[in-house]
Amino acid sequence: MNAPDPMSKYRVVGTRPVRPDGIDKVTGKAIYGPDFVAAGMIHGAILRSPHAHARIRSIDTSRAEALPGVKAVVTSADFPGQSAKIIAAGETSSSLRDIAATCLAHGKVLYVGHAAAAVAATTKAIAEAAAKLIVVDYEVLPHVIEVEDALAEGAPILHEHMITKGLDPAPDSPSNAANCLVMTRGDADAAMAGAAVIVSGHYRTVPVHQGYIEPHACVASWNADGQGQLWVSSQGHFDIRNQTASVLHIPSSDLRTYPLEIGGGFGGKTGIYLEPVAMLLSKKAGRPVRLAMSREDVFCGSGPAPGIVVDLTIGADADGTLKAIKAEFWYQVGAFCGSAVNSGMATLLGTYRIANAHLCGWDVVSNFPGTKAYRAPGAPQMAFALESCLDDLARKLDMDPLDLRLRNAVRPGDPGPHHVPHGAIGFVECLEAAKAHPHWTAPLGANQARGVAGAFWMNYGGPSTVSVALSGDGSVQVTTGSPDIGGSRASMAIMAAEVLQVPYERVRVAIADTASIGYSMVTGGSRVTFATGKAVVEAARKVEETLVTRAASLFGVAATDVEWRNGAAHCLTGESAGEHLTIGAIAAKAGQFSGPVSAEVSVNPLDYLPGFAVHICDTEVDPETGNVSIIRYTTVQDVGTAIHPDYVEGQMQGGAVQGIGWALNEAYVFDGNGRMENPGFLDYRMPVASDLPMIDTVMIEVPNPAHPYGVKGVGEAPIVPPLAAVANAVSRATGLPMRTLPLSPDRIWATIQAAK
Amino acid sequence: MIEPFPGRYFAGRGEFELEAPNLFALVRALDAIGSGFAEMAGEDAAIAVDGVMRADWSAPLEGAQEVLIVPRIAGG
Repeated sequence: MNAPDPMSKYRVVGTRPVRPDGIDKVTGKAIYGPDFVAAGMIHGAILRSPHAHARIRSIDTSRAEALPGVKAVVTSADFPGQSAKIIAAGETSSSLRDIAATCLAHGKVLYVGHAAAAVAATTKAIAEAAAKLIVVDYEVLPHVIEVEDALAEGAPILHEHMITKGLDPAPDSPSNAANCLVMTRGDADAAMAGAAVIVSGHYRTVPVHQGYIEPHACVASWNADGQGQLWVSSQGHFDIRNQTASVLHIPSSDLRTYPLEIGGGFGGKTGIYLEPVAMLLSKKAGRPVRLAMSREDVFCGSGPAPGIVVDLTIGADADGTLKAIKAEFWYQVGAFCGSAVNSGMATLLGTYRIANAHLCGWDVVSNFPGTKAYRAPGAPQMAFALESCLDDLARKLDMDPLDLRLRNAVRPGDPGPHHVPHGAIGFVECLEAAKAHPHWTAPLGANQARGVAGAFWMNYGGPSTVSVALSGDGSVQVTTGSPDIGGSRASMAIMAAEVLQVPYERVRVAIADTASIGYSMVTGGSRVTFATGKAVVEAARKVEETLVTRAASLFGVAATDVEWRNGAAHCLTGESAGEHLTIGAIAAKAGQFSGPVSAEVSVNPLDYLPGFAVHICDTEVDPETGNVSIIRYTTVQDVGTAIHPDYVEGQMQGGAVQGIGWALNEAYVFDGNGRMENPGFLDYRMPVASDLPMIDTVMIEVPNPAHPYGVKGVGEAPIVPPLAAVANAVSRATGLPMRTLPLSPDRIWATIQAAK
Repeated sequence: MIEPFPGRYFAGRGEFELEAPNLFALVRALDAIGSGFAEMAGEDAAIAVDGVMRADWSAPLEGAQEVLIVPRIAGG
């Protein structure tokens, strides 16, 4: 079912124009991170740890430095000393010490692939050869990967200074539990005791990577005067600049940072890995330096999404009304703390009306790369547990799973997960649309079954800066600081065109470097179309106001006697009544006014609204092999107003596909030494087009009244339901609970055999 | 306020009766009770005033009945 044609309320909003960056991207002209070349640039290489956990006794770089062509060698000894100060790091905050240690190991390596040293040389081959000549004397230590092992008595400790936060009294010895958070609502024990039905389960997912196609890359140049330049592919070059400058102890304004095109991020490109290292190499070499990861580096040296272990119990009345929820869960966060415990709790409390809850979440470190955000960070794992448990409840009550969710779904005005009331949300509308969709009642064949799952994601707003400027011919230049990952050039152009009532093609959008416009937070949190879009609308309205004022002067009437319509100022009274001046005619008169027409706006909107989704998934399980085929998939989502529906549907489809991969095949597989055994796309099995049916999309447009055009974030909610939707379908197909992901053929086959 | 702030800075206490002209003053007043709260809040807290998220901490609180301090969560 395709989305209905857009309502005629808007001229441009809701249309589907061609993306302005499309030609460059499909013809290979677009410059991504690994493509950029600076004059005089040399090449870097990173030496990565072969051990999952080891103390660095010494690093001997002499043989590398002696190799002809080598211009610089860097170790953590070259980094300025770091404190545990917390700084903003993309969408979250992080310890400066951990950020620096992610770039180059300091004292210990904490995972296979942890950067230990770096080289810059005249060619990449020389740099790689030189890196192999660096001798690191390691004292190999025992390592841990799984949560249970990391928390076991006598487990090897990753960080000797790490005392678990959130416990009272505070422990007097370090552990791998970085943080414990308890949240209560009502009286969960009493409500559970009074419940007519109780369901519970033990759920597990493993770390998975975002799987962006473009590897991390940057080019750095540190000038003799102390100022530098960075060219980066990232989700937010301002935040990359800020983190890099903080690690290097230099003023942010001394580090001009240029955004390159980005080939996918999904949350994984909000932090730094290479940039300070490249800067230090450049400083030593006196030349610009490029550092780029290989695919294996990306898997082993950058942060995946955390795994999770969840114990979950839900109590309900006989009619399905939820009474209480109790959960204890452990995020498996890799080498550095800072996982998504809070968003996991929000997932448990944000989707359904549950008056009584007792939740306890843990953040547990172990020896694989420190995890990073991945589209609705922390939510898909927790929704897998919640929505699977709800499906068990529906079965126990012999209730339609959509009816169970409809009975309990949050409505506008209900308290959100943090008690702030939900605004104009459309979860009920999504559930009703799912129930009315032909997919929900379509017949199923042998070994086929249908699963469903709901989703909540908070979304975000935050700071953005935008300028809108007119050229002398009246064409419109929009400049933002938000890297375009999901089509924001088009959505920004649409909103500016809507305000100014000019054709979409008259508006061009550029993403400026950090010296050319004010700060914008990362492209993440589903925030850009909402927050940066708000700034675009506000700036465009200021431009319109200027145009009307100037037209009034030219007509010789008051501004109130001029109407802006169809991209022109129309005079309503006086001698010029009925005449109009086009946007180009007014812009051309800039020399007779106070200057060119432009406006710059900075915003920090927090009146965003959450996103809700419902996914329906049909699977067919081969009982002989355990293989699962996705035979039909439908996504329904409250998207607010779809500014460019193609992109909204693309987000819904992309999120569903990534979630299906998470459910069925994707996993970090470690050998006994903590080495990832599948660090490439041949063995790390992401779904490809031939694996999947068409992902059907149903957009439910419940506008956000706080945005001029009703925008809500759409990029994250669609990855939340698929894990459970797939698992619920497979559970129904096999008649067996599926509580551990991925649902790979060997696991399903073994589960079926064990049940015989 | 909700966890982790009460546990980390206020010995588990999550409710306070305070008067303040704006959110900066309120956070300062809370910092006087739970040292270190203000620095953490600047990076990690989101604040709602009478049920509406408030971005500008300098805006007057006159007439406000309830201020809710919650963890800031962005996304991917």
